[in-house]
Amino acid sequence: MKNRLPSRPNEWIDRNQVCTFRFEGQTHEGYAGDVLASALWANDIRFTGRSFKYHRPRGIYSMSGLDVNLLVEDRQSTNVRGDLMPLEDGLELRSVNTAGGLKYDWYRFSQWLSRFMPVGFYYKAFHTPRKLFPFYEKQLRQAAGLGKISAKWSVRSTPKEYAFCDVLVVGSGPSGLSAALSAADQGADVLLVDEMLRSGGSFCWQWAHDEPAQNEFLRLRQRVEQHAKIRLSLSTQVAGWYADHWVALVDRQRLTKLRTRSLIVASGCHEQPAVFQNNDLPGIMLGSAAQRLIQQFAVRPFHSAVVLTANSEGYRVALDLCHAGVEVAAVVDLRHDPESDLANQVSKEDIPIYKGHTILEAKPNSNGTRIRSVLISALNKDGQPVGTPTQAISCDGVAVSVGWTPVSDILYQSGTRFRYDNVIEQLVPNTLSEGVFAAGRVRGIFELEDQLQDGSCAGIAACQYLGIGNASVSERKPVTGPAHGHPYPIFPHTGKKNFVDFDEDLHLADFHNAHQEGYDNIELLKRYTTVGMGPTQGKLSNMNAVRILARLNGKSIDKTGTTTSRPFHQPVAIEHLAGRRFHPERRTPMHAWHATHHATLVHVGGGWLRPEYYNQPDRTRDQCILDEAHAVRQAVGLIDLGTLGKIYVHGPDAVPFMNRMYVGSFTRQKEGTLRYGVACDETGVIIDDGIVARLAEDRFYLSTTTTGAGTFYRELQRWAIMWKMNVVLTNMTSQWTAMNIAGPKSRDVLATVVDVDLSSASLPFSGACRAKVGGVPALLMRVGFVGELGYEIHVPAASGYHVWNELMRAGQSSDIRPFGVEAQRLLRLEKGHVIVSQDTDALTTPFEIGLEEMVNRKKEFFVGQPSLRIVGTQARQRSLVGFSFHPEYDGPLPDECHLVMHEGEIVGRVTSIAHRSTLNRPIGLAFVRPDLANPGTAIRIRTDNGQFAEGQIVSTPFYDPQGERQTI
Amino acid sequence: MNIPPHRSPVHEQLDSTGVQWIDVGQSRAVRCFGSVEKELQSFHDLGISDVSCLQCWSLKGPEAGIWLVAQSWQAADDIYSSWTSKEGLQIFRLGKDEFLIAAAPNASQESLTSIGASSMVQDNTMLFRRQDAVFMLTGLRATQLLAQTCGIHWSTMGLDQLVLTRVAGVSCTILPTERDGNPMFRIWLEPAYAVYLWQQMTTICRDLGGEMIGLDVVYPNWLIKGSS
Repeated sequence: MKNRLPSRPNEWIDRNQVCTFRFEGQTHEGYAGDVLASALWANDIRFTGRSFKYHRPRGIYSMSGLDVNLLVEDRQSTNVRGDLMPLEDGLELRSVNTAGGLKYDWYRFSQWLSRFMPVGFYYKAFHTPRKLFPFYEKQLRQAAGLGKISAKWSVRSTPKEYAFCDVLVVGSGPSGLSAALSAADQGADVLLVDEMLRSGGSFCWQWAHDEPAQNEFLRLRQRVEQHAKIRLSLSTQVAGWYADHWVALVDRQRLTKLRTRSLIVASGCHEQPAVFQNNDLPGIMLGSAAQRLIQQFAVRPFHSAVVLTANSEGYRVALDLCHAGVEVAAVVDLRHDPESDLANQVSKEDIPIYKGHTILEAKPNSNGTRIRSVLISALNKDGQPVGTPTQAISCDGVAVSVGWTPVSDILYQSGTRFRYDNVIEQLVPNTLSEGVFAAGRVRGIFELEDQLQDGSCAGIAACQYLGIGNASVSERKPVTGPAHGHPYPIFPHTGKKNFVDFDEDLHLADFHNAHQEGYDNIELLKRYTTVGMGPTQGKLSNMNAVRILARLNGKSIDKTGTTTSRPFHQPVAIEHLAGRRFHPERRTPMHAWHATHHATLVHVGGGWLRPEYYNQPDRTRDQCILDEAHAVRQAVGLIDLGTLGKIYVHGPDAVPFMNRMYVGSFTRQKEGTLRYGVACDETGVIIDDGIVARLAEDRFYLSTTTTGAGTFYRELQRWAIMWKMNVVLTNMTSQWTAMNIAGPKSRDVLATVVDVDLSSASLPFSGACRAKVGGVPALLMRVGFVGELGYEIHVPAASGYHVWNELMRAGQSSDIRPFGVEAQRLLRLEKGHVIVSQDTDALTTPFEIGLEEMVNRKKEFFVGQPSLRIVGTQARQRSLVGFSFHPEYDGPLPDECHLVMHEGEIVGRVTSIAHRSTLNRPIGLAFVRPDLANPGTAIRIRTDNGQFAEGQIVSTPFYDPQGERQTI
Repeated sequence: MNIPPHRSPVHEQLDSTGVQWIDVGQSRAVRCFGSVEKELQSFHDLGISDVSCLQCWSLKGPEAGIWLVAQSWQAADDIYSSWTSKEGLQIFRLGKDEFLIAAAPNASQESLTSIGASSMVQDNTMLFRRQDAVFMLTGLRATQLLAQTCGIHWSTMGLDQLVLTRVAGVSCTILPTERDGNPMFRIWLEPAYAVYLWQQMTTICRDLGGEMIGLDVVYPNWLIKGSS
C-alpha cells in the first residue's frame, strides 16, 4: 500500500484489520473501512476501468458514486460502484465493460475510430440495409453496455419494508445534522439518511483539517446518535420522491417505502468537472475526491499535483495536498482576482499560482493510463484561452475544483423550481413544495457557520409546518457571494477528447454538432446526444451541457432550462426493485389431500389453486383426464368445488332483490329447490352464472363462478345499496367449501354418510336440503352440471377435509375416483353446458348462447333488461353451437380460439374443444354466424398451421340429450 | 359418527417433528414445537403462532345490535372498537350492522356452546361461525415483520383497536394488543389464504431470527386451566 499515508485523526479505516482482495486477477490488500476505490489507489492502481463508448482508460474521479470509472462485478452482482463499495476480505472483482480484461480489452482500439463515431452515428449509419440491422444491433450491444447478468447467479430475495417518520432529513453533513437535531428537539420523529458509509458529509473531507469544525462535528454526531427521536440510516440513498411524501429509500439490503410528513433536503452539492483536452485521464479527479482520499482513507492521491480551480475550495484542496506530502506544482485559477486570504496561505507554501489561466490539455503517458503533464494557457476577460499554451507543468495528477451543482434530484421530483443565481453561479431552489425544505449548500449556503444555522432553521421550519413544538423560525440567510463556481469552465480543443459526459464519452464537439443539426432544446439535445442518460444520470455532465447549450443559443441558464429528474436518480439493483415477491394464492381445505394424491395443480381465477387432474402411473395427462371422465360416467367421481363463489342473500327484500339481479324470476321458486341463475350487467352482457338455492321464504344461497365470485359479490353489494333494499349479503366463499359427488353410483355412496333420505322422491333433481354428511352440518344440492346423477355438498371450511375423506372412504367399494377441473370441463362440454368467460366474452348476451328462455320478459326490471329489450329486436350476429367430428376423422383438430371460416371469411371462433371425449369423437362449442348455425351444416376451422379442420354442426347436448341420467 | 376436531387451515405446515398437539374445545392446536424455554424467548423477541383454535363469529344484519342486546351484550359505539362480555367474548364493531365476535382464551365453554347453538339466520340477522385462520405475532420486534408485509404505522395505532389492512397482499383484520408490555398482534384472515400467508410470515420471521411458537407460551394460563 505504497500510497497509504500515516495515521490521521479521523480516518475511516481500521489499520488492525487487513483485507485481502482480488481485482482483475491481481491480489491486493486494504483495510476494513476502505472502499474498493481507496484500497486500489492506496496500492497505486490508477487504471480502474474503461469508458463506455471508446473504452478509454479511466481512474477514480469523484469518490462519491458520481462516475462509472470503477464499476465492478463479482459472482453475484454487477455494475457496483467501487467508490462506494465497502472493502471486505476475500472479494474477487473484475471491471465491467471489457472483453479480455481491463488491460487487454479488445475494444480499446475503438477510440482510434472515434472520428467515425460522432454522436448519433448509429441513427445514420445502420438503418440501411434493413436486413443487416439485427447484425449491427448485436455488435453494438456487445460493444456497448456495462455489466452482464448471469443466469447462474443465485436468486436473493431481498426484503421490502414500510417505514414512517415526521421529518426525513436527507444528508448528514453540517446542515443535515443541525436540521435533524433542531427538529428532534422540537419533538419530531426524525429519520436522518445519508448515502455515505459514515455521517458528516463535508465535515469528513472539506473541514477535516479544521479543529474547531471537527469539534463541532463530534458534538453534533454524539447528540444525533444519542437522541431518542433520531434514527440514523447510513449507506442509504433517497432514490425517489412520490406524491404525498412517499419516498423510496435504498440501502444495501432492502428497498424501504417511507411515508414522511415533511422533508428536509440537506444533500449538499456535487463538485463539477472542467472540460479540457484529455480531462478523463486517470489521475485527474475532483478536488473533493482528492480530499476524501486523504482525510477519510489516508491515501495520497498524487505525488505531484496541479490544482485547477475557480473558488476558495480549490485553495483548501491545495493546502490539504500540501499537508499530505503531495508536491503541488501549481494552482491554476480560472479567475483573474481570487480571494487573497487563501491565496496568501498557498503562496506561503511556495506554490505558484497562475491567475486567469486554465489547463488546456493533459498529456498522457504512452498507453494513456497516467498523466504526465498539463499544458496551461492564459484566459482573456471572457474566460477563453488566449492563443497557444504558455507553459507545460509536470505532474501525475490534477485536482479540479471549479464549481458545484446542488444535489437537487429529490427537490426536483418533489416539485421544487430552481433558478440560476448569477452571484454564486449555481442553481438554487426558488419555490419549494409544501412540506419540503432545503438547507445548506443545496440552497447555496457555503460557509460552515451559515450551514449549521441554516440547518437549524430548516428543522424548526419543518416542525412549525407539522405543528410540532413551539419554536419560531428565524430569518433564513440569503444566498450571497463570492461565487463558488465558474460560469463556463469549458475549453475547446482540436483534439476532441475534452469530455463533457464521462458516462457516455460525449465531448464538446458532439454538442456543437448536435446543435448544428437543430437540437437546440435541452430535452431534445439530451435525447440525441444521450447526455445525462448514463448510469450516473448526468450528475457530472448536466450542468455543463446546459451551459454549452445556453451559450450556443445565446440565452441564459434560466431560459435554457434543465432536464427532468425522475426516480430512481441513482442506480438501484434490480433485486431491490423485485424484492420479496408476494403473490397471494388460495387453497381449498382439501388441498393437502390433492397434493398427497398426485394432483397436478393449476391456478384458476380468483387466485385459487385447484387440481387439474390426478396423475396415474404410466398414464399421460390426456389419458388421466379421460379416465376420470369415464369414472364419472360409469361409476362415481368426486371433485373439489371449494373455489366456487358462495353467497348468502337474506332479508325481507330477498326475492325482489334476486329478481332484479338475475335475468330469471325467483318469485315462484319453492323452498328446497334450485334454479340456474344468469346475471347480466347494464348492457345485457352475461357476467356470472350459478346455482341459486332457495332455503326459506326470505333466504337464498347462491353459487357463482370461481373467477367472478369477488366481482359479483361487489356488484350485489353495490346494487343493494343503490336500491336501498333490505337484504343482508354474506360472502361465504372461503368460509364454506364444497364438493360434487357425481356418477350413477353417487347416491349409493353418499347415502352411507348422510342422515337424510336421498331418494328422488325426497330429494329430486334440482332439490336442496340440509343434512349431516360425515356428521358435519351440510347443504346438499342435487345438480347435474356434468350430466350425471350428482350432489353438491357445501360444508364449513374447517370440516371440508374430513367430509372429503369420508366420501372417499365410503366410495372405495364403488371405485370412486377424484376428478379434476379438466375432466369436469370435458363432462360439462359433453352436456353442452357453457362456462361463463370461456364460452362467453365481454359482449355475449343470453340470446347468443341459447339462454333466451332464461330471460324473463314479464318482469318489471332486472339489471340489463333495457339493453336486452333493444338487443332482442335486432338481428343476431352470432350463435353458440356445438360441433363434432366423425369418429373416424383423422384430419387436423382445432384448438380454442381458432377461427371458423366460410367462403374465405371469418364467421366465428371455437370457444371450447375436447380432442378426446367419452363419446369417442372430438366435440366442441363455437360461435358462428346465425345462418350457419343449423345442425348438419359443415364447419371449417383454420388451425395454427393453416390447415382446415372439417367438422359438422350438431345439436347439443352431445350427451344424454333427454337428461335422463341426471334425473334417475 | 365421530367428528374430528376442526383442522387449522395451516395444519400441514405445523405438523413437524417434535410438535405437541392439544385439543382445545372443538379444535386442534399446537402446544409447543419443542423447547418451551426457547419459544418463550421468541415470544418476547419475535414469535408467530397459529391460534386458529380461538373461535370467532360473524354477526351482521339490520337487527344485529338488537340481537346483541338480547344476549345481554353490548355493541361498541365506534367502528373497530370493542366491548368484552363477562363470558370472555370480545365484540368488535366492523360497521353499522356488522360485528366480529371473538372468543378470548378465557371465554366460558357455556358461552361458546350457546353462541354456537344460535340459529344461523334469524330476525333479519346472520350469525355464523367463521372459519378464519388466526395467527398471533408476538414480541418486541413483531413490527419489523409487519413492516415488511404491510403499510401500517403501528406506533400510531391504539391498542385493542381493530385494523383492517393487507398483509403480504392478503386482506387481514389485525388486533394490536400487549401482555406485560409484550406486543401481540392477532391476525384474522380468510382460511383459503392461510397457507400462503403462514409461509410468507414464517419465512420472514426466521429471516429476522424469530421462531414459530405454541400455545404454551402464547396463552400459558389457558392451558394450565386444562382446556383440553
